[in-house]
Amino acid sequence: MKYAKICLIASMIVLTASFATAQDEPIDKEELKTKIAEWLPGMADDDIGRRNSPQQSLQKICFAVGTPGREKDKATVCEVLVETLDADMKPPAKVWILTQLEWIGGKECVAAVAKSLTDGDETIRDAARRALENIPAPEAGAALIAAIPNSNGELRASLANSLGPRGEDSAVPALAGLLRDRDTAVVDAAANSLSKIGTPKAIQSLKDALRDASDQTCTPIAHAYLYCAYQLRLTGKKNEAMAIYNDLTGDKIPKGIRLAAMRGKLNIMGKINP
Amino acid sequence: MRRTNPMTRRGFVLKAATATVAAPMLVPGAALGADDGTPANERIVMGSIGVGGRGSGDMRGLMGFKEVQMVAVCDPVPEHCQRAKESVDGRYGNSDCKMTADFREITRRDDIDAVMIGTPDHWHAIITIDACKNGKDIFCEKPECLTVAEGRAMVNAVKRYGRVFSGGSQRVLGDYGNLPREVRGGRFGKIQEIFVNCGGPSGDCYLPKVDTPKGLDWEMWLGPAPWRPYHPNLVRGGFRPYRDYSGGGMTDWGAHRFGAAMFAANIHKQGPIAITPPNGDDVKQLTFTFAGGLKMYHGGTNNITYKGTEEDHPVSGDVDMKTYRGRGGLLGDFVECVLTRSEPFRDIETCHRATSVCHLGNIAYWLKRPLQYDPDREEIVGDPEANRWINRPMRGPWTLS
Repeated sequence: MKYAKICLIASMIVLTASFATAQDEPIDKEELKTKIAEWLPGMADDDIGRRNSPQQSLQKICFAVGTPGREKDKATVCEVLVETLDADMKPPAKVWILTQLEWIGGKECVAAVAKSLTDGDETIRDAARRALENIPAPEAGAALIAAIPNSNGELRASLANSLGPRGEDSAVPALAGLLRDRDTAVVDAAANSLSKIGTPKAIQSLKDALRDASDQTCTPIAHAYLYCAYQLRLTGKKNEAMAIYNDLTGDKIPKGIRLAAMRGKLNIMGKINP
Repeated sequence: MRRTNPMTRRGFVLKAATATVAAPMLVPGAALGADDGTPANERIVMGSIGVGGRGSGDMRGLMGFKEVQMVAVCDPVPEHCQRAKESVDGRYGNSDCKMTADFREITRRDDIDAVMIGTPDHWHAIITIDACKNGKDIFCEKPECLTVAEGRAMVNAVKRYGRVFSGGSQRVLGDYGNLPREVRGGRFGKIQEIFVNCGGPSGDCYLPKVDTPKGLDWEMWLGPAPWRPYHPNLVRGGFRPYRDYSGGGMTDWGAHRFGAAMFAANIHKQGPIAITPPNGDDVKQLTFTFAGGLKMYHGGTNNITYKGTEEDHPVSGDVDMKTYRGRGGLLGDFVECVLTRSEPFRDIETCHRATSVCHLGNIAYWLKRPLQYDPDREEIVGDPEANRWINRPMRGPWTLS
């Protein structure tokens, strides 16, 4: 028994080492599945220090297959990670797998990752949202949007926040709808994301919302609208920027934003430096 | 000492900027410095956000300027906050300093003109942008941001709202005597190679779980970083080795030294076009290549070594080089620039370019592959997975605005 244990440990060390050194070699799907199954308990060890080796072993592989030219290996790894998400595991392990997909996941991962948006564990939900924010496929943006109606509070604001960096015009209707949310944090998040998207539709939705904004929601919407003007100015669209600056006047608009809008106008007119 | 004066410098400037021409108004004596010699329009009311080791040092440094009135401190670690409050109250001989664990209670105060940010790196961008949106000027410790995208967002916010922002590297001018001026003046001719010595990249954190002390707002300390259990090292300045909060030695000393090197070589508003990690073969050191061929290496025998077309060529006469305004080094430069609405020595674009170099170096180290970079678009080219590291999703509900 003792001899068998020693052989098992030795073979694990050799196998891990061979994985660690052979990162440039094509990924064997079944071998990887075996390795991850062995690493999984360690990746969620109650002793955080013991998570180091199994987590880093997986991450080394994931980082390596992200190299341009290794798309086939990346697809294999993602396939295995997606299948693994269904396995029974503790939250730290699932968070770790979702984090790897945040860095290398593609459209084939979206459905599996999106399931975790409604997990009972907050760290898993957040890791899933961050992964979808970063996965470049349009399906990821669609998954974030789809999750909004059944969310509220912090999760809803976070989902709205994640749509901004993605920059997809397809998110504008959902975000525009959130500009009238009862939760001002959600309004803030939606306005901020619309400003990041910055398409004509996004800008128009901010303009429309500003007109009807309450005292509480006017400030975040106006800040976002100002952001749009600044970005337009940076890209040489001075007329469009000036139109926004002209909208950002009047007592309803907070003083600081009016001042910033005035600065923007003076800059376009060549009266002050950027 | 003095209570908050409604005619603070901020109120003065805001009124001056937005008021229409009116009849001359009576100016209170306090506004002319009748009580302590500092007129209201030369008084900078400040709050300090992040008052652990380094932050409290900056706070005390700023309080050394008669123009600065510190009125509030913020830290999610109660001991840090309490010590900082005692320091402020001791300086002014009262107990007026307010404490909070939430930076928004400082950035949203109308009576505060400026903030000092001494938090761990992962908070710098969010707080800076929030301060800008609320009309505050900012002194922010280095490294000024956690990612390339954060740096650019900070630049945009500072410019959008017309704020004065100073980054926190006092070493660019402070550590090397006359060397920056001499390098800029051509002591080594045209610079071809620079060797910069600083620590290595950050990595993942495997510190064990420790029960969160009562009263410490761990959620607020973590902020946008992924959740993990508390460990005391993290709140005592030991966060720097860990990627979720900082960039390791690459950004800790790298923000100083890469920044100093780039400034001296006059490439401090540029970015590299290639970043090549050591490959165990012909590339021995992480190498940044700039347009025009200049190479900057991570590693060297001295802090910074320059090699150029000349061996060592004395420099005489004036050298066109930005330096501090006012008196009192980097902090004095910030104070002077707030009062005169000037661009500080370590302006936000310079901060961003210096820290970008550090971040790109880290990405190359983590991924162990060379990167091509477009410094104008600030994108890693031809490597979409590497480019995902330019910006990092934040833990909810935090985001870059």
